Amino acid sequence: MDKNTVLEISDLHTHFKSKEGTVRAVDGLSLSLYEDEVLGIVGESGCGKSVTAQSILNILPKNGKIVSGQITYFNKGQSQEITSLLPESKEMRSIRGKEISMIFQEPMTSFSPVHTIGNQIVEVVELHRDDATIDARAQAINMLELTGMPNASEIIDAYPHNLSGGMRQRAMIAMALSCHPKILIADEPTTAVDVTIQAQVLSLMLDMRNELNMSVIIITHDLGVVAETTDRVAVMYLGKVMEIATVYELFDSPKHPYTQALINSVPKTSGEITKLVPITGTVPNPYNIPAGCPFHTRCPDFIPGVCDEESPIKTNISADHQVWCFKHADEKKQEN
Amino acid sequence: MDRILEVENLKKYYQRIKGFSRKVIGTVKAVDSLSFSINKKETLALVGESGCGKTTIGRCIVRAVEPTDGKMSFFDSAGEKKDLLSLDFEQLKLIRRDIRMIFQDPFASLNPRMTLMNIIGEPLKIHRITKSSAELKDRVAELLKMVHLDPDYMNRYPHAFSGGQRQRIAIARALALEPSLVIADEPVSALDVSVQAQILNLMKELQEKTNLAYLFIAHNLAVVRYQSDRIAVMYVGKIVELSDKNQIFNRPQHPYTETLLLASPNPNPHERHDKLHQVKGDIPDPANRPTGCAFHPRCSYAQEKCKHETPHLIDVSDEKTEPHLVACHYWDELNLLTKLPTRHPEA
Repeated sequence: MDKNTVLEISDLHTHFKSKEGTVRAVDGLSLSLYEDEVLGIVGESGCGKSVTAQSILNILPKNGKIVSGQITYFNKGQSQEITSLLPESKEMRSIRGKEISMIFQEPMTSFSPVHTIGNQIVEVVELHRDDATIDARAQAINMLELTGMPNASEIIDAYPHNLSGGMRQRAMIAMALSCHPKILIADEPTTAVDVTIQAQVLSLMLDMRNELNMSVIIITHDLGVVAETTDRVAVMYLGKVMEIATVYELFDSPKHPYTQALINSVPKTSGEITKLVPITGTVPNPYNIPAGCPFHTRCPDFIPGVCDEESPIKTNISADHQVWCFKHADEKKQEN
Repeated sequence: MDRILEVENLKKYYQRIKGFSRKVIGTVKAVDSLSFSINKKETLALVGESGCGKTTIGRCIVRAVEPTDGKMSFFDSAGEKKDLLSLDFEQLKLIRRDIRMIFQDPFASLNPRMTLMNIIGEPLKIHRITKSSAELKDRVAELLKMVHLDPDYMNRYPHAFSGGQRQRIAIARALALEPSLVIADEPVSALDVSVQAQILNLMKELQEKTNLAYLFIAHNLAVVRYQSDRIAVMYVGKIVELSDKNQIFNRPQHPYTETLLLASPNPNPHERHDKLHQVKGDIPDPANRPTGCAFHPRCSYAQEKCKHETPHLIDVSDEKTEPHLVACHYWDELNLLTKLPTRHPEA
């Protein structure tokens, strides 16, 4: 498979300042997103997965700031450096919503309650259309139909509160895709909906990916959603990537102790029922991230004097499988 | 087997009231003629999507809300049968020593102005279990140890603890009076995955130690499969299927159970579905429940009869096996799946 990179994040640091101190929400993140792939970002709360998404779109809250690092967006042979753009600049606004768009967790709070669904979608289309003759309303109805909304021509004049949770999430997807973006970022798209609706929303996203040829980043804490939808997965913990692999490799031979622990701690819906092995301890305070590998305080393979002092470097297990862990860095050395 | 709780034809209807004149414009049948029982030392799970009435049932049992109609009997430690609905205030207080609750959100269920000592010790004081403050302190320390927290934390406030630790505190409070039945309403839904397993294992461990029975209310099928002995699947106020967990997972007999199983994402990419199973439509509004079988507008097997006649919960097992209750007109004609074809050949 020929892999064209559409988005490259290198050594991204996003920090949040508050009275109590600085939170290093994203702390040296490097990731690539390829064309037509579904990339999953998994992690527990506070691992920086949502802040990564906000950094990509340059929509960080006021106290958040990209301190260093690059986010490069590639399109038709051109590259655009996102971190160098101001959040309100014309260039950024032409990317946001048009080239890269996003779906949020709670569709009730991400729509304006005082405008109709239609007006909100039309606004997006009118802002980004190249040709002023394009009928924005027709395009909005078209998008709603594409998401499988029954009687789209009526729904378009409904207010968000008229729709059920599943319908709102569909409308959200229609809005996000109304300009045919190259990248769709879905931040916990199904956390607020029930299982049967979750299945509808996830399959809709995958169908739309095939229809519109885009890359998708799914941010979630649910390993089931990851296994069900993604091609490649990045596992994050306290602002750092611990492991990146294809979804099959990640579940078949996880290398990082955190990934292994995460997989062993979730119950499954099939196969033998084995006793769950919980991860000891709790996620450390974000104001006080442990030195070295952030997972060392809970890690069963902790090497004193190594893991708590230096940050682990990247080890290539295979072309598609990287892990940041001293345990494997040592293994490599021994092989050589 | 020894029963601990029997629920028969439990109903909880809410009136929908509109305007200043408080005119009744309809009824929400949150729980509609529901019957089940819980055995000693077992975990019965109630699963279902939002609005199916699972939380209302838990609240009815402790009479935090008054049921509209029905019968609930509780068997106390002496084996005496008590009618939960005819108890007066004093008797209810006594019964609530035996039936305790754990709630979903440990950030909302613990009073931020009380220390752990006060939170866990309060039920002991109210029921005058401990005679002196030294004894109370010892008992709280013992309870904290039981949920694997350091007894030295006794004088701290809840804000000093993480979600998982708080849920342990809530469990310690629930167990302070040595109950025989604990109603756990989504106890792990608000927790991170790595912490969920800690709480689930702790609940199992405590069940073995103290011979508890759990009514485990949840929406996550994988969690329910791990945690429970029997499962009741609910849909809009009614139980549609109730059986041993292996029966439910390996031989579901109700189309809604099939739907739930196929829609639940499993953390195993090799069992990835060919296409995610989809059921049409939305969960109905309990205020506007479909006629006949409530699942018929979404059911791919529905026939004309399903629209008009409400199916009853009947036992479909052969005599040798555990009872398997199903509420479907056509259960014996359907050949339900537990798995869909996988998407990719093994990589």
